[in-house]
Amino acid sequence: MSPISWCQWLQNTRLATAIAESSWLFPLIEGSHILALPLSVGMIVIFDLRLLGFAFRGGPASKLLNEFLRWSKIGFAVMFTTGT
Amino acid sequence: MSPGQISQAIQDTQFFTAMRESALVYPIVLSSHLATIAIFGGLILMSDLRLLGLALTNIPVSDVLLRTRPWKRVGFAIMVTCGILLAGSKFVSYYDNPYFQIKMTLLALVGVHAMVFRRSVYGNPAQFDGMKVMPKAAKAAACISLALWLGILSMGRWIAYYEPPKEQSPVALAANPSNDVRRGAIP
Repeated sequence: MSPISWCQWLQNTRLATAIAESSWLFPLIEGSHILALPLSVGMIVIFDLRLLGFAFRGGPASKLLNEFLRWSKIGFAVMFTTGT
Repeated sequence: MSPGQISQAIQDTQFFTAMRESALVYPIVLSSHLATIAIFGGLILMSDLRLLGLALTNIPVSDVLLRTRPWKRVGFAIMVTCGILLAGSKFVSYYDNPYFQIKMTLLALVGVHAMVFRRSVYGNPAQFDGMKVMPKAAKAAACISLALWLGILSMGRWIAYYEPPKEQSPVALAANPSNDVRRGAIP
Protein backbone atom coordinates (compact mmCIF):
# COMPACT_ATOMS: atom_id res chain seq x y z
CA MET A 1 0.00 0.00 0.00
CA SER A 2 1.39 3.40 -0.88
CA PRO A 3 1.77 5.98 1.89
CA ILE A 4 -0.98 8.19 0.49
CA SER A 5 -3.52 5.38 0.37
CA TRP A 6 -2.61 4.44 3.93
CA CYS A 7 -3.28 8.05 4.89
CA GLN A 8 -6.61 7.86 3.07
CA TRP A 9 -7.49 4.71 4.98
CA LEU A 10 -6.56 6.30 8.31
CA GLN A 11 -8.66 9.36 7.56
CA ASN A 12 -11.64 7.17 6.71
CA THR A 13 -11.59 5.08 9.88
CA ARG A 14 -14.59 5.60 12.12
CA LEU A 15 -12.65 7.30 14.91
CA ALA A 16 -10.94 9.75 12.56
CA THR A 17 -14.19 10.56 10.77
CA ALA A 18 -15.99 11.05 14.08
CA ILE A 19 -13.34 13.51 15.23
CA ALA A 20 -13.27 15.40 11.95
CA GLU A 21 -17.06 15.70 11.69
CA SER A 22 -17.80 16.49 15.31
CA SER A 23 -18.38 20.14 16.04
CA TRP A 24 -16.92 19.94 19.53
CA LEU A 25 -14.51 17.01 19.60
CA PHE A 26 -11.93 18.42 17.22
CA PRO A 27 -11.75 21.81 19.01
CA LEU A 28 -11.53 19.95 22.35
CA ILE A 29 -8.63 17.78 21.17
CA GLU A 30 -6.91 20.67 19.46
CA GLY A 31 -7.40 22.86 22.56
CA SER A 32 -5.86 20.18 24.77
CA HIS A 33 -2.98 19.94 22.33
CA ILE A 34 -2.31 23.64 22.71
CA LEU A 35 -2.82 23.57 26.50
CA ALA A 36 -0.31 20.74 26.87
CA LEU A 37 2.29 22.85 25.08
CA PRO A 38 3.01 25.13 28.08
CA LEU A 39 3.00 22.05 30.33
CA SER A 40 5.66 20.19 28.42
CA VAL A 41 7.74 23.18 27.37
CA GLY A 42 7.32 25.24 30.55
CA MET A 43 9.13 22.64 32.57
CA ILE A 44 11.80 22.43 29.88
CA VAL A 45 12.26 26.20 30.05
CA ILE A 46 12.68 26.08 33.83
CA PHE A 47 15.19 23.25 33.55
CA ASP A 48 17.09 25.08 30.82
CA LEU A 49 17.21 28.22 32.95
CA ARG A 50 18.81 26.11 35.67
CA LEU A 51 21.28 24.55 33.24
CA LEU A 52 22.22 28.01 31.98
CA GLY A 53 22.64 29.16 35.57
CA PHE A 54 20.10 31.96 35.23
CA ALA A 55 17.71 30.74 37.91
CA PHE A 56 17.21 28.26 40.76
CA ARG A 57 20.89 28.28 41.53
CA GLY A 58 20.36 27.33 45.16
CA GLY A 59 20.94 23.63 44.69
CA PRO A 60 22.17 20.99 42.29
CA ALA A 61 20.41 20.67 38.97
CA SER A 62 19.45 17.12 39.89
CA LYS A 63 16.89 18.55 42.33
CA LEU A 64 14.90 19.78 39.40
CA LEU A 65 15.41 16.60 37.44
CA ASN A 66 12.62 14.52 38.97
CA GLU A 67 10.01 17.23 38.51
CA PHE A 68 11.33 17.95 35.04
CA LEU A 69 11.01 14.34 33.92
CA ARG A 70 7.57 13.93 35.46
CA TRP A 71 5.95 17.00 33.94
CA SER A 72 7.59 16.89 30.57
CA LYS A 73 6.58 13.22 30.24
CA ILE A 74 2.96 14.01 31.10
CA GLY A 75 2.99 16.97 28.76
CA PHE A 76 4.58 14.97 25.96
CA ALA A 77 2.08 12.12 26.39
CA VAL A 78 -0.84 14.53 26.07
CA MET A 79 0.76 16.31 23.12
CA PHE A 80 1.45 13.06 21.32
CA THR A 81 -1.99 11.54 21.93
CA THR A 82 -3.93 14.63 20.99
CA GLY A 83 -1.62 15.23 18.04
CA THR A 84 -2.25 11.76 16.72
CA MET B 1 -16.24 58.62 14.43
CA SER B 2 -17.96 55.34 15.04
CA PRO B 3 -16.06 52.26 16.25
CA GLY B 4 -16.54 50.66 12.83
CA GLN B 5 -14.89 53.60 11.10
CA ILE B 6 -12.07 53.70 13.66
CA SER B 7 -11.48 49.96 13.18
CA GLN B 8 -11.36 50.42 9.44
CA ALA B 9 -9.00 53.38 9.79
CA ILE B 10 -6.62 51.40 11.99
CA GLN B 11 -6.65 48.51 9.57
CA ASP B 12 -6.09 50.80 6.58
CA THR B 13 -2.86 52.35 7.85
CA GLN B 14 0.08 51.62 5.58
CA PHE B 15 1.82 49.45 8.15
CA PHE B 16 -1.10 47.17 8.88
CA THR B 17 -2.16 46.98 5.25
CA ALA B 18 1.33 45.87 4.27
CA MET B 19 1.24 43.24 7.00
CA ARG B 20 -2.14 41.94 5.96
CA GLU B 21 -1.28 41.74 2.28
CA SER B 22 2.10 40.12 2.77
CA ALA B 23 2.14 36.39 2.21
CA LEU B 24 4.72 35.72 4.92
CA VAL B 25 4.55 38.34 7.64
CA TYR B 26 1.16 37.53 9.16
CA PRO B 27 1.89 33.77 9.39
CA ILE B 28 5.33 34.44 10.88
CA VAL B 29 3.95 36.80 13.53
CA LEU B 30 1.16 34.32 14.30
CA SER B 31 3.65 31.47 14.68
CA SER B 32 5.79 33.62 17.01
CA HIS B 33 2.71 34.42 19.07
CA LEU B 34 1.96 30.69 19.40
CA ALA B 35 5.54 29.64 20.03
CA THR B 36 5.85 32.19 22.83
CA ILE B 37 2.86 30.52 24.51
CA ALA B 38 5.22 27.64 25.19
CA ILE B 39 7.65 29.83 27.13
CA PHE B 40 5.43 32.45 28.72
CA GLY B 41 2.47 30.15 29.31
CA GLY B 42 4.74 27.44 30.56
CA LEU B 43 6.30 29.69 33.22
CA ILE B 44 2.88 30.95 34.34
CA LEU B 45 1.59 27.36 34.49
CA MET B 46 4.52 26.06 36.52
CA SER B 47 4.32 29.04 38.91
CA ASP B 48 0.61 28.43 39.46
CA LEU B 49 1.21 24.73 40.04
CA ARG B 50 3.92 25.64 42.56
CA LEU B 51 1.53 27.96 44.40
CA LEU B 52 -0.95 25.09 44.55
CA GLY B 53 1.77 22.85 45.94
CA LEU B 54 1.44 20.41 43.01
CA ALA B 55 4.78 20.84 41.24
CA LEU B 56 8.41 21.71 41.95
CA THR B 57 7.70 21.20 45.64
CA ASN B 58 11.39 20.91 46.53
CA ILE B 59 12.09 24.39 45.13
CA PRO B 60 11.21 27.37 47.39
CA VAL B 61 8.17 29.34 46.22
CA SER B 62 10.08 32.61 46.15
CA ASP B 63 12.63 31.03 43.80
CA VAL B 64 10.00 29.78 41.37
CA LEU B 65 8.04 33.04 41.35
CA LEU B 66 10.81 35.63 41.51
CA ARG B 67 13.52 33.96 39.43
CA THR B 68 11.20 33.43 36.48
CA ARG B 69 9.70 36.91 36.71
CA PRO B 70 12.10 38.63 34.24
CA TRP B 71 11.48 35.85 31.72
CA LYS B 72 7.74 36.11 32.19
CA ARG B 73 7.96 39.84 31.49
CA VAL B 74 9.96 39.31 28.31
CA GLY B 75 7.50 36.64 27.18
CA PHE B 76 4.54 38.85 27.95
CA ALA B 77 6.07 41.76 25.99
CA ILE B 78 6.55 39.50 22.96
CA MET B 79 2.99 38.14 23.23
CA VAL B 80 1.47 41.62 23.46
CA THR B 81 3.56 42.94 20.54
CA CYS B 82 2.61 40.00 18.32
CA GLY B 83 -1.00 40.34 19.44
CA ILE B 84 -1.18 44.03 18.55
CA LEU B 85 0.38 43.33 15.15
CA LEU B 86 -2.05 40.48 14.45
CA ALA B 87 -5.20 42.23 15.63
CA GLY B 88 -4.28 45.57 14.09
CA SER B 89 -3.76 44.17 10.64
CA LYS B 90 -7.26 42.67 10.56
CA PHE B 91 -8.94 44.85 13.13
CA VAL B 92 -12.34 45.07 11.46
CA SER B 93 -12.90 41.32 11.65
CA TYR B 94 -11.29 40.98 15.09
CA TYR B 95 -13.40 43.77 16.59
CA ASP B 96 -16.64 41.94 15.77
CA ASN B 97 -15.31 38.58 16.89
CA PRO B 98 -16.89 37.60 20.22
CA TYR B 99 -13.99 35.27 21.07
CA PHE B 100 -11.55 38.16 20.64
CA GLN B 101 -13.75 40.37 22.81
CA ILE B 102 -13.88 37.76 25.57
CA LYS B 103 -10.14 37.24 25.32
CA MET B 104 -9.44 40.95 25.80
CA THR B 105 -11.84 41.06 28.75
CA LEU B 106 -10.04 38.12 30.35
CA LEU B 107 -6.70 39.88 29.81
CA ALA B 108 -8.03 42.93 31.63
CA LEU B 109 -9.18 40.63 34.44
CA VAL B 110 -5.65 39.22 34.64
CA GLY B 111 -4.44 42.75 35.39
CA VAL B 112 -7.10 43.08 38.09
CA HIS B 113 -6.08 39.71 39.52
CA ALA B 114 -2.45 40.82 39.75
CA MET B 115 -3.45 43.93 41.66
CA VAL B 116 -5.85 42.09 43.98
CA PHE B 117 -3.30 39.47 44.98
CA ARG B 118 -0.23 41.68 45.00
CA ARG B 119 -0.25 42.32 48.71
CA SER B 120 -1.16 38.82 49.85
CA VAL B 121 0.77 36.67 47.38
CA TYR B 122 2.84 38.13 44.57
CA GLY B 123 4.44 41.03 46.44
CA ASN B 124 6.10 38.78 48.98
CA PRO B 125 6.37 35.14 47.89
CA ALA B 126 9.11 34.48 50.46
CA GLN B 127 6.41 34.17 53.14
CA PHE B 128 5.45 30.81 51.58
CA ASP B 129 8.94 29.29 51.69
CA GLY B 130 9.12 26.16 53.77
CA MET B 131 5.36 25.70 53.98
CA LYS B 132 4.21 22.15 53.40
CA VAL B 133 0.62 23.15 52.78
CA MET B 134 -0.03 26.36 50.85
CA PRO B 135 -2.44 28.84 52.45
CA LYS B 136 -5.80 29.73 50.94
CA ALA B 137 -4.67 33.05 49.47
CA ALA B 138 -1.91 31.41 47.42
CA LYS B 139 -4.19 28.63 46.23
CA ALA B 140 -6.96 31.08 45.34
CA ALA B 141 -4.56 33.29 43.40
CA ALA B 142 -3.21 30.26 41.52
CA CYS B 143 -6.65 28.82 40.68
CA ILE B 144 -8.00 32.13 39.41
CA SER B 145 -4.82 32.72 37.42
CA LEU B 146 -5.04 29.27 35.84
CA ALA B 147 -8.72 29.73 34.97
CA LEU B 148 -8.09 33.14 33.40
CA TRP B 149 -5.06 32.11 31.37
CA LEU B 150 -6.61 28.85 30.16
CA GLY B 151 -9.63 30.90 29.10
CA ILE B 152 -7.40 33.35 27.25
CA LEU B 153 -5.60 30.53 25.46
CA SER B 154 -8.84 28.78 24.47
CA MET B 155 -10.52 31.96 23.29
CA GLY B 156 -7.41 32.80 21.32
CA ARG B 157 -7.65 29.53 19.43
CA TRP B 158 -11.37 29.88 18.81
CA ILE B 159 -10.89 33.32 17.24
CA ALA B 160 -10.06 31.49 14.05
CA TYR B 161 -13.27 29.46 14.16
CA TYR B 162 -15.67 32.37 14.31
CA GLU B 163 -17.76 32.92 11.22
CA PRO B 164 -19.82 36.08 10.91
CA PRO B 165 -23.47 35.42 10.07
CA LYS B 166 -24.06 34.64 6.38
CA GLU B 167 -26.03 37.79 5.74
CA GLN B 168 -22.90 39.77 6.57
CA SER B 169 -20.59 38.22 3.96
CA PRO B 170 -19.28 40.68 1.37
CA VAL B 171 -21.24 39.00 -1.42
CA ALA B 172 -24.53 39.08 0.49
CA LEU B 173 -23.93 42.66 1.61
CA ALA B 174 -23.29 43.77 -1.95
CA ALA B 175 -26.74 42.50 -2.82
CA ASN B 176 -28.41 43.89 0.34
CA PRO B 177 -26.42 46.79 1.81
CA SER B 178 -29.17 47.62 4.27
CA ASN B 179 -28.46 44.35 6.14
CA ASP B 180 -25.03 45.55 7.25
CA VAL B 181 -24.88 45.50 11.06
CA ARG B 182 -21.30 46.75 11.35
CA ARG B 183 -21.03 49.93 13.37
CA GLY B 184 -20.58 52.97 11.17
CA ALA B 185 -21.65 51.17 7.99
CA ILE B 186 -23.51 53.40 5.61
CA PRO B 187 -26.50 51.51 4.11
